[in-house]
Amino acid sequence: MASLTRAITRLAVQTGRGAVRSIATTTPVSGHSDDIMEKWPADKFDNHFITYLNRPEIDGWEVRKALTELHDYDVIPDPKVVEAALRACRRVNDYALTIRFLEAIKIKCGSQKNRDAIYGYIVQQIKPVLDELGISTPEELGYDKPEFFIPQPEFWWEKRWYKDYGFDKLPNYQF
Amino acid sequence: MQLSLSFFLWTPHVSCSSRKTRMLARQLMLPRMAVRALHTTTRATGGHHVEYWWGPEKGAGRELVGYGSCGDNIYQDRLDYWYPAIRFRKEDSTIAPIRAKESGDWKNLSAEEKKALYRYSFRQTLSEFEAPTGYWKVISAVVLSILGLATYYAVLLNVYVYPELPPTFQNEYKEAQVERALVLEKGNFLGAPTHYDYENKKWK
Repeated sequence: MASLTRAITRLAVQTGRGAVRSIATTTPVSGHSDDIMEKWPADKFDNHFITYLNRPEIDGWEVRKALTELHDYDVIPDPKVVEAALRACRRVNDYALTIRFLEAIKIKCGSQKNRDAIYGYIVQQIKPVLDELGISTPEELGYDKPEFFIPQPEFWWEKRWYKDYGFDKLPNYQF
Repeated sequence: MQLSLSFFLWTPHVSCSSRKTRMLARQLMLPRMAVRALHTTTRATGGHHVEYWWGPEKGAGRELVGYGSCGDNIYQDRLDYWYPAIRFRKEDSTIAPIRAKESGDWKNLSAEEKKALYRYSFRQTLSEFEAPTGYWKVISAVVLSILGLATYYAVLLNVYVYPELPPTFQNEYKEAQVERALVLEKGNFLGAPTHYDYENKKWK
């Protein structure tokens, strides 16, 4: 009896589906296991970025796209990914982006304790690549401490800052 | 739990297909003119209006190098989008020879040239971004001066503006009121008499 009911239901469902024809323009997502890149196994995640960054025809816009996406994820990049990113920066001749990327690793490390431990480890691991490409770390350039004071443009300014910083922000109401 | 989850997962599909059938039925049943929408105003195009878009002016001739946070060519230093869309400075005669050198071996770049390359691409380093700005002093000065002025204003009102409090606020009046309640309102279920022990003549 139960199997008969099930068969009838299936028949009804099938005819119903035939009558109301699906007009989906996209293919349905089959599995939900691979959707979230953060839940990928580590080597697959790393290889995704490494293969993208190792493409010989990559341009500067795409390097920044890859680094921005890598920055979006809640991960600290593996030294292998860092090496690939530095080589990609070398290929597009953007030296400033390498320093910026090394600083981004510091951001992703989070707390100062993590920053000391993990950032130091990554720099130590990628040392051969840094030497090969001639890249200085932010520490070697003295960027681990503030070099300039940079006032917030949308906030209260001292009078003399308008002169010192080249009237970047125009003075508003004057007494 | 499993059942309810699958229920929620499948609900949109069911409602979607039923909406489709209902739409189909309405189109079949009603003549075209009856369901036609009447527009009394011109249609808004929506989204960005080019006349209010200041991207090129803010970009000001600086090289567009990436997507940034929102695709506009503006320079922003943000911790979540650490790679701005445009370079911070325009290409000029100072940076041109260093750019030429950059396309060669980076080992030939001196530290000053590396710093110049960074400063032409980006406004501030991470340590400068994270450095304390000192604005807390301005903010707390404003907040504390507002609190102080409010206090002075309240004192001024109390001293010079408000009349004397009526005598019923004095303690003698309040105590007399309680004694009166003990006599006149004996047996009430509210107020002072409920807290007074009449047999031993003391407060409970």
